[in-house]
Amino acid sequence: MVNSGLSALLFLTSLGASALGGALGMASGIFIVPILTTAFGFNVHLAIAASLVSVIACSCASAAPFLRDGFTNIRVAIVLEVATTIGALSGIALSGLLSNQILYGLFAFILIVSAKQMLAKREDIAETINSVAMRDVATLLRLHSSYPSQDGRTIQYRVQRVPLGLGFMYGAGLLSALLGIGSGVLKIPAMDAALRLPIKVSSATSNFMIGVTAAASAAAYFVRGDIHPGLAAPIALGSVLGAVFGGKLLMSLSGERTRLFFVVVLVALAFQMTLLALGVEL
Amino acid sequence: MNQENDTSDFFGRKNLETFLANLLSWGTMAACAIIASGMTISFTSSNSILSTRLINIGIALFLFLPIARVSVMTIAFVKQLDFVFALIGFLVLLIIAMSAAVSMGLY
Repeated sequence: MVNSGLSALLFLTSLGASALGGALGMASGIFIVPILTTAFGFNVHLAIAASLVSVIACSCASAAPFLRDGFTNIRVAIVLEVATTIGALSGIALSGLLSNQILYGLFAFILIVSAKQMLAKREDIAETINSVAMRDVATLLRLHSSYPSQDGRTIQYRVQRVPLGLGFMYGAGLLSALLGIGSGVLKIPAMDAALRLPIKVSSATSNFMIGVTAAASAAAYFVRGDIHPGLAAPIALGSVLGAVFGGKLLMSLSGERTRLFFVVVLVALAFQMTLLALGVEL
Repeated sequence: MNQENDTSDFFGRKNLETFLANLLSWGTMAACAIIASGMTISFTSSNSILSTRLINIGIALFLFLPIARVSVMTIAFVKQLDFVFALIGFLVLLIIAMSAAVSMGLY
């Protein structure tokens, strides 16, 4: 089914998708699934299974520097992972019931929401700790933490509205299992708007978490035998290299024009997925 | 920079984060090496059983890495006597196990 030429093409596609995704602080699933189904003509279930492996590869490959520099909040991550894995479990139970057409339609919708989100600038609305002791869930669980600023200072921050964050994360886990994506589209609002984490902390923590969310659903696909080795292998390798490049690109590619380019790509992919959902052959 | 408890014990914040970083980066390199060798074999010889097996081992290692990461965190929380977080970690592992079990039951 997969020869060396096709493997090379899949490898390059996933390298590009992960580098671009990484440059935007997202996983590559949102690009990989539509490309595999529309350009390569793979079955959507195979594409989702392969994409989940690439999400895990992206997460593992790019976690280390964020952890070493102290940006990842591992306590917040594990609390939210309870919600994302329960979401993934619900998604797995649902996935057999939904037709390909519904999956394509749902994917098109998520692409449009992502495009809209990309147009809105992410603002840092984190509050630094003032010594008022508040009795909320985040305080009880000792989730507040600190991260290093560029000039070497330690900046303390407070975590807020944990229950709302858990709700968003349940949805993120559900979409992740159904569509084979990292669900940045729901994780970004959960981390930025609900928990009010500083942007660097939320990017690092979200990236750290997507591996576990995807592992819950990928394990299920693996057990079912839906992860095709010839398809997943070049995609996993491409994702690791792409994630490493993407992290570096993140610094140089944050201009408005790049953002606009991605919006165009997302809308084009959404259009194609809508056609597939409606059963239109081009 | 404050130095409080960060580096004093093995399961302190800094050491645990460094350990997780090493686990994930070495694990990623190992999984990539195994997958790449499987692909090389598939292109250069006709031993497709060996190459498929190697690729599957590499993919399984990728799937195992996040699970190993949650397990290490759970053990660290137990050692820190932070039983609420140990329980949360255990719960995450249990849900992942249930996801695999549910799909085996469904298909």
